[in-house]
Amino acid sequence: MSNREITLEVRELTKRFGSLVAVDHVSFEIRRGEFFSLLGPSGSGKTTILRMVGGLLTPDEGQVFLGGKDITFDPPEKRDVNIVFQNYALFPHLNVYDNVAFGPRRHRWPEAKIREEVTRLLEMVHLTGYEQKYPRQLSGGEKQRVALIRALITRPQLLLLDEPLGALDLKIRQSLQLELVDIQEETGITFIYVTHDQSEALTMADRLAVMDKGRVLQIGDPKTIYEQPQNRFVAHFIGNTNMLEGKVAAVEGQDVRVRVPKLGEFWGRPLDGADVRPGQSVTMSIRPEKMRISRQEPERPGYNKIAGVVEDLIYVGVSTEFIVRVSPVKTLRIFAQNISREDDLWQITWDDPVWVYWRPERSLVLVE
Amino acid sequence: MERLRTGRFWLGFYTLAVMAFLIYLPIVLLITFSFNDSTIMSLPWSGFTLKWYEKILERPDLLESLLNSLWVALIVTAVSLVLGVLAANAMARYRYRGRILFTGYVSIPFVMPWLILGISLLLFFNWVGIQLSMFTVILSHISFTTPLVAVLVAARLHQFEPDLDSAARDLGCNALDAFRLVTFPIIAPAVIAAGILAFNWSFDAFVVTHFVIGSEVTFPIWVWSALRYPRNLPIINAVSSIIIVVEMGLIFLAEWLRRRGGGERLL
Repeated sequence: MSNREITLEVRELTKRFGSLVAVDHVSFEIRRGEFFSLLGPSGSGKTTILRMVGGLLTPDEGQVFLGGKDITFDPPEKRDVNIVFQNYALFPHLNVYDNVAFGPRRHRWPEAKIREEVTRLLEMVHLTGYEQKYPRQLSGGEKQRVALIRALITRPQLLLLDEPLGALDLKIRQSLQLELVDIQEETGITFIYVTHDQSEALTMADRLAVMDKGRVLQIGDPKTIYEQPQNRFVAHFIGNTNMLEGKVAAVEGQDVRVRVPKLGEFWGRPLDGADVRPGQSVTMSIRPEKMRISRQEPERPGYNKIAGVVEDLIYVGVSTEFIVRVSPVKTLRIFAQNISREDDLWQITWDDPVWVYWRPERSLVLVE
Repeated sequence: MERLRTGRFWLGFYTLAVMAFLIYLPIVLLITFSFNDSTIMSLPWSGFTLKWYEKILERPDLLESLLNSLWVALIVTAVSLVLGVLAANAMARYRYRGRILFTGYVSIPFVMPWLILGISLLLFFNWVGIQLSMFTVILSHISFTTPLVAVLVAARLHQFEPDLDSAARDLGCNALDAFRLVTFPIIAPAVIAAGILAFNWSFDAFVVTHFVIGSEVTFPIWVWSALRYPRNLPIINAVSSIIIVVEMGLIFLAEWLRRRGGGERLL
């Protein structure tokens, strides 16, 4: 993986709109054939980056390299990069065939080759027979698939997808997610996928960059991002998490003891290389599925534990979600898998006094 | 429900009545009397004749004025289409300093009385020292047909996604090709409609023309001067009837062209 060639490099990319810094010195590299995702809330600068890579916006600072070549100031038509737009941007005056054939015709392909490729791609996305239809006659999912093959028919080095499934219903979105991943693997084209939906990014991407306010906060594969978020924003934005805020009471080897006002002291572990000192303000992040719940006080030495009352429980089939009130101002969220009836999990119900416990290494100590 | 239905009936009836009496009835009268064998435009009917139409050809002053109006309107339409489409692109696509000022200019012909526009143009030509002629007429007409075209085309552009142009660029078009292959086909119906309107505004312009014209005569100016002699009235009726029929034909033609184009439905 590491010695694979770099398709795109973005170096210190910056864009300002008036006094607003939309993209703030962003750098990253994308390897060939990778499914890379830019994830962040709206207004975090994802789309602006995409437009600068595609050539629709000119950066104020920084550079864009495609296949090692500086393309920062090349016009969009000179870049071997295509975009799938958020609202599809299908040409309303052209039918499906002419929409898909638009790129190849600009690249002067022979008409016979165009016909062959358009037919093959329409078949790939299950739209055979749609050649003569106009965009207004298509459903959202169909438009999306036409927009996708229109952008990838000329096999660009890089395909940029701007929230391509954002306007679709959940069901269609999920099936198109799978279809997209298949198509990406089949064609081997490098994808940059912009989304604000963290579950979409986690399930689809090989690697992702989490963005906020124009900055990249963390880049990594989904597992690293989920298990080892670098800071509070990432921990909070990706998946669900419980946050406990306090001050470092002691540092012992790998572990630190954190005093959380009104709740007690808990053991946790910072990320490798983090500089944690006694007295420092930190946040502990514990994922709901890493916590356990029981009616008896757990007799497990070294575990963190806290007493509370079940405020709510939501049965979701494969698991049960408990909301446990541990102080007047704090509730914890716990996911318990419904594996068997072995423990007393099944008897726990509303207003029961319970214990919540978890292993020290499951609570991540975050400095930022 | 019942009340709603009667309400709708009376509203429809009212609309129809207004249209019939204020718009269609005068036109029907005008056309009818152009075939009446009398110089007095009133009943009783004096008999059917085509002689007023024949007389048109015997009036070189009328024919010349028609010809003048025709070529002026053609030039005005062509120039204002080019300028107006460019202006519409600027209005719909870009943010820039002076945007409000520009929007102000564009709304002039819709809010400024013709009389004032005519006077100010006359003062302007005097001040710059341009002699009044058909050239000043053309310039004046362009000054109000360009905003007309710009407004109509910009309205069309606004309905469309700004990303269409970007998509064309992204798929390999330079700026000119993107306009030729994507933007223009999409705005074409609005451009045709704007062209017909610009032509009519110019052909029809009396007030402004009256101020800025030299010794030549356009058709509206001819009509104005011919009206002083009642015997001319039936000839004016006849020529007006021809113009009405031609213009309706033009509008139907444009509508047919638009529908034949398929694709997106417009307006």
